[in-house]
Amino acid sequence: MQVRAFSRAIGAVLVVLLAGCGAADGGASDGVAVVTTTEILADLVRNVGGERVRVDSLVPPGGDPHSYEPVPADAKKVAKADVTFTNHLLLEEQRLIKAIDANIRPGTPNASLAEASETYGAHVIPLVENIGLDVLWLGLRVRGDGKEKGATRTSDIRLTATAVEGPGALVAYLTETLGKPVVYFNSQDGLSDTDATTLPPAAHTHINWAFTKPGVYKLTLAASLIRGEGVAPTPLGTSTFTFAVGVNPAGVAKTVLADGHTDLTIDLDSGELYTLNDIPGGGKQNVVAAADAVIEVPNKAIVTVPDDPRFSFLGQAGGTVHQLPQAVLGKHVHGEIDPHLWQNVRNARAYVELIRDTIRGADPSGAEIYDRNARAYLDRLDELDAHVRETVARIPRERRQLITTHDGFGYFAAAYEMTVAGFVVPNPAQEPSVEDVRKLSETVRNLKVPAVFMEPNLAQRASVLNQVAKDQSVDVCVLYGDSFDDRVQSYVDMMRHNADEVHRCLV
Amino acid sequence: MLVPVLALLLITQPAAVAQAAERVVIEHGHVDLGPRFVDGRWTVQLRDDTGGAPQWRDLSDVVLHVPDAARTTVPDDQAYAFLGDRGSAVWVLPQVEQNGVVWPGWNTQDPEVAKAVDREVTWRLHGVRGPGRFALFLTGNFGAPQQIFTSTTPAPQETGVEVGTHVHGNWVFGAPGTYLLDIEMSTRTKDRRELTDRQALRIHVGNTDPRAAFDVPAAQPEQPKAQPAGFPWQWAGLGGLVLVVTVVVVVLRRRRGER
Ligand SMILES: [Zn+2]
Ligand SMILES: [Zn+2]
Repeated sequence: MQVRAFSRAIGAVLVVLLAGCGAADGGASDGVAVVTTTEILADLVRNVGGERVRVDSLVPPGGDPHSYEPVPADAKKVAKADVTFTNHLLLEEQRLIKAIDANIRPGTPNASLAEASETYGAHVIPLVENIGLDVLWLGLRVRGDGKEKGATRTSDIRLTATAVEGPGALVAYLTETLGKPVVYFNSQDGLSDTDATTLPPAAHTHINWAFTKPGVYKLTLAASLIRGEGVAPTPLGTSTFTFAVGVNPAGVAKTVLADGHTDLTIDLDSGELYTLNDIPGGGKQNVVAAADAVIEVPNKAIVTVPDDPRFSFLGQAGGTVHQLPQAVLGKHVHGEIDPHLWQNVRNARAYVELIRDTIRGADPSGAEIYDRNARAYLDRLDELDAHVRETVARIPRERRQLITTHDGFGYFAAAYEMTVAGFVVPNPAQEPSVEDVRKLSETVRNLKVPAVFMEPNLAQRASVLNQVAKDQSVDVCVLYGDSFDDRVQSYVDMMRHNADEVHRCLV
Repeated sequence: MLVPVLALLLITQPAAVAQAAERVVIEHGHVDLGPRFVDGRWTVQLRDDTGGAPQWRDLSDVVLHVPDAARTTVPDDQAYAFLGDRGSAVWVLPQVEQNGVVWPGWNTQDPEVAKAVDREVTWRLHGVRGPGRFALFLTGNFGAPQQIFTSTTPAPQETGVEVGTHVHGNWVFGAPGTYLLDIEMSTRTKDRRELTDRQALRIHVGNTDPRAAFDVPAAQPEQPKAQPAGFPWQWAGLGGLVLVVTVVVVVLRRRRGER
């Protein structure tokens, strides 16, 4: 609100200035010259500017902004521009941004939409650097003082794995500070008294949880209190915890624990074992009974067993396990934001308001027209947002899994309640590694998704996705990410298509 | 560039209001560094879970003590070369709780902080004063260390802490004695305010008297004003946070120049 009022004030000042110096360059005769980096941004500008603006996108139709490098003609376009718009936040190839900064006439408005739209209410999400760390942080905890049961500060709590059911083995282990692993529980060779650990009262620790095959696992833990040497241990309680490893957790239990921080917790006072979970956005925690919770170990948690004899308890070197890691710091790049904001229509709304105010500043005499156009277009975006939301909501929740060519749909997933289950590479400018490809095929196979999604502008780079889809006999559908093609030529059509396509292909 | 303006502001800052709070040496149990709003002011404090109820303490009231029991040696593994020569002694506070050793982490979970902060808190290390090397790192999946801060890397170094998170790492010290970590936590709030606070965390390594660490001042202002000894980081009134940071930077630069 404040910002809007502020730019209105600037607009008013500019009106006065322009009135004073007569017809400024650019003038209304041949329209305001606007240069954008991508054709999606150009379409948004056209909807606000209408007849009064001439819009040029530097990345050509169907081009990929992540890799497009500027040509000399681009410099000329920029030099003639009255206004330029970039998305920024590392969407565009750096040389393209530099070409704009180097050739723009002094004083020309140059708006970075993704960054500046936050003040117009855009919701941004951090860039995920390591999706293998974008998982639940699962630990062990002892809670309560257990005075009634005779516990003291020097007591020990013994936690034993008494049963593991599942398609493969469960291995819980700690990698110590200097790299040495210590196994807590390992069902590989059956369970015995050695599949146990001892914790002090008020303990809280985080370990690695590895599973050798996908499927649903049930781990039974029994706790007892050891008050001292020679004293018989006091049994505390037993609970069975459920894990959905690589498979869809929906329907396995009432509460899915998929992210944040959870501890399998021994309550010394009640004797119960339950999950204790941090509630996002506050310092509070809540208890979910073991029987009501399913811990998700998604396919993005697939890791390759290293060629290091110390880790041979996990299986063959070069094989894979699903693993919740003991430390999850580093899943996001510090300070960096996912640039694909427009995949949430409400963010595109913020772009449009910013575009309106920027063009109005450059051409104040058209202010009324820009306001009117923007109002009409914002209404269409509201309808579009409702359509996308409602269409995706008709897909059963457990089927809302997105597997795409690049990591460009995080906003779509977050806004319309889907899950990014995987992608070939984070950025289309990268080549997938052997591990990336293997992880992708395992994801498709384990989740039994009916379709994967290709972006038409990345068709020539989609060989990996096509091959995986063929091997697993799933459909390849089309989602528009960073550009249009000859069938889809506008932002509204693109988002409509995306919503209808995920519905068509996943239901 | 901002120094002259801020130096003028300095005169108008109120004197410290900190009372002589209880000073504690923490030798075992769980503690976390983290930002909080203290009387409405963004402040780096230490959450102390070693007593009954959790208590947030000013850093100037705390010394973390690392006993000789935490001593180990740098392994014969190239991945750990950043800790020093292989076989040399290091004192380690591990990422996971170890009986008899303090377990320090960091969190951004204070409810008021979790509500106000937009996305993440930037944690900066401006420098380390101490007799040996310092490193903070995480041990991940298969033991590969992920470095966060090392005293051998030029300062300032920074890392991001997402809002509402809680992390523990390995704190490594290369020699016995007192260490002062010059740390800053800053953020942008959802209502676009830039907040920052800079404090010194004291760690005493070895079986000598840890309380001696309280006598090591965080930084010595050129003309000590009416500051209670040992509290030179506390003179920021409302809006004076940036100022404190700047003054401290200047002081540190000057000290470095003297050496
Ligand atoms: Zn935990
Ligand atoms: Zn902690």
